[in-house]
Amino acid sequence: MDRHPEIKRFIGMVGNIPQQKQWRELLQTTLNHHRNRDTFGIEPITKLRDSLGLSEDVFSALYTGMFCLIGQMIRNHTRKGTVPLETALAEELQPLALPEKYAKELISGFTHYEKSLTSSAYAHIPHHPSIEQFRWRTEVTISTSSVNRILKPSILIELRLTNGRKQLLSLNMNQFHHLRYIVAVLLKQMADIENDELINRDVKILPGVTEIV
Amino acid sequence: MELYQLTLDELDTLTEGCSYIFEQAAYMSLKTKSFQNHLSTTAMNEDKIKVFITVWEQGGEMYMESLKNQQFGYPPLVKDIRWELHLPLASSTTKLDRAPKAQIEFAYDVPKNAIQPSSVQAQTSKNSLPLDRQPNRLLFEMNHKELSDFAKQIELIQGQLDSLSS
Repeated sequence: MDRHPEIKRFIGMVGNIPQQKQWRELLQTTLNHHRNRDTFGIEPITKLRDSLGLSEDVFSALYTGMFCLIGQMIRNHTRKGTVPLETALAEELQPLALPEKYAKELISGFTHYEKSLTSSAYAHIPHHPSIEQFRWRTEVTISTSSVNRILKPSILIELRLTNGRKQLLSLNMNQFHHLRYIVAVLLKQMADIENDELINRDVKILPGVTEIV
Repeated sequence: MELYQLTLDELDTLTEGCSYIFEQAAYMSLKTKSFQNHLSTTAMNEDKIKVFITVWEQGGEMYMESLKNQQFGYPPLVKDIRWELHLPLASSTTKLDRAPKAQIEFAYDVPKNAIQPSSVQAQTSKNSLPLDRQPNRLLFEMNHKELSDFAKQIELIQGQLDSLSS
């Protein structure tokens, strides 16, 4: 974290915020920015700059630095580690050498909003829609105009996805059994992966990914 | 036509007659014996009845199967189900997540003249489908919990099917 260029510059500029109150304001705005990435406008930022009374350069360095810092903290702590959050954060912030009161404020603010920060971080990732509603019906075709007695079962499903798409589909028996098999295979593989020792090691840094910011 | 020295009308009547016989046999799902009984009550010669029976024995089952599987085209019949299991490693905002995600895709057929309710048409026209997904594909992903819920629903369906046949 201390190798991040924005954060390094930020640390250098912390001297420009002598008051605890100003630090708190900066922290609040940045946290809200992270929590509402998509809907955050420019007004709160300009308001903050005016209230802090700093020059453009200094303010932009401070704001970006704080933003990146919180981003890195979210990044490192989306998974529940074995260590409680506050101690882990305190340890991480150690090399940054922030004034003690400021660091404490940062940690408490972060832990307070932890849930919404992680959920907005996940919402930010590209992903496919998932199922919002799944309705189904079993049907038996008794007869048609061509054949008097058929008695063939089939399944009617209606899927509504999180992106609003609604689709009605019908499955014959073969397809349904195939689907059932697929779901079973996927469940088993998921369970295997989640229990796999190698994948679940509490590794802090993924090799080769440190440069991705 | 020249082979049998028939007029066009006679050929027409012949094919229509034979088709009618087979259609009726399929409608009543006749087995060979009952088909033979039915035919013998008509004024047909023995050798002709034999021909009908042989043809029915060879292709009758398949014909009836294809009739049973005929669809109106609505709701669309699923043609293929594909899947993928993903393990996210890192992203622009998170790191080392390791919560596997399952992706399932239904590929389905919509015949050209099929009945479509107007709401479906309205949906697909204003829906912004991602460009890399062709039409007639439905893709969704689930994490572990969602997948277990989905599996529970599938088991419920299977239970219903079992009670149907018992």
